[in-house]
Amino acid sequence: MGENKNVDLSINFAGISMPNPVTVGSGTFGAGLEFNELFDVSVLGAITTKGVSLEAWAGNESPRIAKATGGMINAIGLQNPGASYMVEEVLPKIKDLNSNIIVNVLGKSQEEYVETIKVLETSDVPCAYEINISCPNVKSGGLSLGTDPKCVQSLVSACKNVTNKPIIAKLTPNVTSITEIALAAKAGGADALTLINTVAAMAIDIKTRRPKLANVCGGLSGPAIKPIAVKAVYDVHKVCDLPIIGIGGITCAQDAIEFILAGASVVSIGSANFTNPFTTLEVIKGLENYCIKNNILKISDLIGAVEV
Amino acid sequence: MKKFDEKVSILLNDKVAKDIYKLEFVCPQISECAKAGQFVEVLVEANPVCMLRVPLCIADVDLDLHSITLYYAVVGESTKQLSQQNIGDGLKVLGPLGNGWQQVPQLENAKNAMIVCGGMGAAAVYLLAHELSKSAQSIDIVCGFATKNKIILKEEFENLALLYENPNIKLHICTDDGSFGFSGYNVVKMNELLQQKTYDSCFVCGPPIMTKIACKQALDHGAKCFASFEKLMACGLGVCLGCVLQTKNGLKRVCADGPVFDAEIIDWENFC
Ligand SMILES: Cc1cc2nc3c(=O)[nH]c(=O)nc-3n(C[C@H](O)[C@H](O)[C@H](O)COP(=O)(O)OP(=O)(O)OC[C@H]3O[C@@H](n4cnc5c(N)ncnc54)[C@H](O)[C@@H]3O)c2cc1C
Ligand SMILES: Cc1cc2nc3c(=O)[nH]c(=O)nc-3n(C[C@H](O)[C@H](O)[C@H](O)COP(=O)(O)O)c2cc1C
Ligand code: FES
Repeated sequence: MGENKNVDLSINFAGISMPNPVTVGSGTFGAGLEFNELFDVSVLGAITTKGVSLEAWAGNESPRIAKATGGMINAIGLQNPGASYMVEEVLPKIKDLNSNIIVNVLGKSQEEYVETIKVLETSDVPCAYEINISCPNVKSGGLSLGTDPKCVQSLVSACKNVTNKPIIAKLTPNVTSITEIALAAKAGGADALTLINTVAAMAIDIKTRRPKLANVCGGLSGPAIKPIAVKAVYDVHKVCDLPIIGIGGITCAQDAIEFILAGASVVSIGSANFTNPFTTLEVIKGLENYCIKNNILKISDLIGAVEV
Repeated sequence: MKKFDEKVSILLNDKVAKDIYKLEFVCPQISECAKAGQFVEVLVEANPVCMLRVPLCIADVDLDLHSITLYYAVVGESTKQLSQQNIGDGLKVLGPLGNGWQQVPQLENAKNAMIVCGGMGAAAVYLLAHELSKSAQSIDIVCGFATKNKIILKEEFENLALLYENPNIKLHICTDDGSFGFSGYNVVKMNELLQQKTYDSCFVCGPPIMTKIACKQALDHGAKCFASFEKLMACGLGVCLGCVLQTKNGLKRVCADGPVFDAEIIDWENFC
């Protein structure tokens, strides 16, 4: 990489110091170990892990994924091995990656989120918790919590009570007013926000006349949702001063810059890791090139710089 | 295990049977470490609407040309796009992926082996047949196809007996409609063979129902049995958990823990 000393890609995100504003979408990068066989993942601003709950979750039946124009629909069902396994088996292995590790947290109730964080607190590896209050896949969980401002405020503040690390609330776009939820998260004490999770979706096989997913419905991700996500970031940034991780359909540096201009401090690459596992590296390089070309000294100068 | 995402240029992309193409390209890094039963994920770059790559088995490797060969059936949008690519066109290929047949301890111990494959499953077992040919006394290769004009790899399998100077490497082609070879399903032919001789190992790849029946017959026969599985895949790297298979030891990722598994550990009740 041609280092240009004049461009500063680094960012202080809710107290986490990142070499660049690029992380990865929870559930699309494992805990980084698989991708570390392809490239040195420590160059990323942070690694966001697959969501983890208190006990192991089995996830949904197969098929769990379906193709969609400009994206994919998933109903993995938040399969994960549980927080103790995470602390004992996974976190020690990724400690050596020397990266900022943001652990994504799941729960079916406020208590479960809190208990999960308590278990994770026994490890020194996480630098922040991203609480997924928005996954549309699990019938009894995510969605209802993340769509009610009162529940969101209470959940965030309960999580804040058990850790000194930053709490990042990850919001669903499947609500009437995402700004209302964002402000509720802020009122609960959230340090930052991640926008957005997948968009509720469905696909039907017209030959068999059955849903393509065993779970019937799932969440749409990929380029198809990018304009939805950019607007969510823009809307929330206007009314709420919390730093934002922007995610949804980013496949290249141009996409990432759109999110930053809309108000994101950090960008996150999700499904694009499946199409091109080197997307994150290309985005980092592309951000640097954009800054050089446009005489921007600090990437942080671009945050929310869209002129309306 | 090392994996690479190589930009390759197509050497050959020919129709070899009805709706079936043979694709060959140079990929020095992947070809050098590819093992029998592993797969690659192919990205047709001219296709921005489809995010997901196409997982395809590594059917053959040419270490002199540094190339690999794949066989694919045109079944939907991505495989149709792939079939429209010309010699010299670029593709991105990620691999080698998964744990193939080489993880099977039985490979070297197999004396009297049987391979049962259906349709495109033939591509997944061709390199395996080579591996087995190095040490096995006899191999019966039972290939099932829907009909005569869907047969692939016939000459290649037939040549093994000559190549390894072993007349006990035998190919049994079956067609569902009786248009070529044995008339009927390959698992029926398999059953006939199992009555005539004792096999110590059996290797299976094909559609789910065929795989289930073949594995069951092999296990009932008392043979060690291994099968290669297919599931819809997103990442191919083991991170998305889209491709899991229920086993007696919990959920396993077909792309990273497999695609080859010991038939003994599969939860066949909930398989299909
Ligand atoms: C590890 C692995 C190895 C494979 N090796 C080969 C191979 O060597 N040769 C070959 O022809 N095919 C192989 N396949 C299947 C191949 O990947 C699919 O046929 C292909 O992805 C279909 O893409 P499409 O866009 O053309 O069709 P789509 O429009 O996506 O699908 C068309 C039809 O095929 C089915 N289908 C799609 N993907 C899969 C899949 N992964 N497994 C089973 N059914 C599927 C769909 O349900 C649908 O009915 C393999 C799959 C896996 C997982
Ligand atoms: C296969 C898959 C698994 C996911 N798992 C999680 C998860 O465990 N927790 C979470 O908060 N988001 C999860 N997500 C959502 C992504 O992190 C991201 O918000 C979403 O996919 C939109 O970004 P993208 O368009 O870049 O993929 C998952 C997405 C996919 C495709
Ligand atoms: S395809 Fe993603 S885990 Fe197997």
